Amino acid sequence: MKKTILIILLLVAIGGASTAYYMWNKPKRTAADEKPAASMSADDLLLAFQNDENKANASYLNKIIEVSGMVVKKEKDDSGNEVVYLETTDVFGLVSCTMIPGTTCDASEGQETKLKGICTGYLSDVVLTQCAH
Amino acid sequence: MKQIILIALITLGFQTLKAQQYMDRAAYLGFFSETKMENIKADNNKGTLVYDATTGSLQMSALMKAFEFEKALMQEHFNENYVESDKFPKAVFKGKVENHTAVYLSKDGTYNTKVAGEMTMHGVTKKITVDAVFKVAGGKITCDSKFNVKPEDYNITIPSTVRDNIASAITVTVKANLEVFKK
Repeated sequence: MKKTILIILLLVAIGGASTAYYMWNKPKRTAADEKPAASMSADDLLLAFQNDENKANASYLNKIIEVSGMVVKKEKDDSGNEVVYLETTDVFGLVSCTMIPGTTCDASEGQETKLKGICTGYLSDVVLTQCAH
Repeated sequence: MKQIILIALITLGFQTLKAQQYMDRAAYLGFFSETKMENIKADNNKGTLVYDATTGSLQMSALMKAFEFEKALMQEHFNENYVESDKFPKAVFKGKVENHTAVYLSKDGTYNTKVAGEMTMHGVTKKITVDAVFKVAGGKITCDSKFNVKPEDYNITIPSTVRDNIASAITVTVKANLEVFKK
């Protein structure tokens, strides 16, 4: 009887420790392994935020959004991640997509592409992070 | 003839006006919290900084959800429990470079400035003044700043159980590469 209790306690302790370990080392959320919640053109996404930012935040914030558009510019940010800017018809705003660290977008400047990423909100551009094809 | 002069004047005026505006749409913002228990670091490469050299007005915005932490769990806690980024997605600073007339962005040099303004984060607006350095070298313009932010000033409550793990004043670093305003 004592032995059973001891074994159960031990199992609980191991379970607790491994859960804590898993939680601590939980992988970061990326767009690679999630289905997009919505799919649209870069233009439509920017327009949605420009027309009603609160509404767009409510619909898209923290969700995986798939956008299609032409690559205007590709650059590396200060952390060395590739950032892909998608063209819109707006005079200023773009859709800025930061790729998952270590990955690149296979389209070059001037080409059409489709990327999905976590929508983090709108500044002058709509910002998507942890992007993948 | 009159029309041509008018158009020329408008175009010229527009160009000079445009040339005075600088921006970085991928400015770096980082924060660092140092305690005996642990050091916490987060990077955000998605900040926007707009500087108007004519008026000296400077505006910077950042999305809270674009801060990348080392651990996914830290990022979740930061967004969900501390800054409540679903409710308050951005932090915005609107200010003015105090001695902006002494900053010549067309001339190489290092210009130490003070920027005074208002910072809004987590639904709270506070007046702050920070030191910023503009550096101009071979046509490349950078604007760097480092200042402290106290979470409690912005109604960000940190549970007492982890209060010792998070610094009372968090160091914020800003690094921007300014370019003439264009799409």
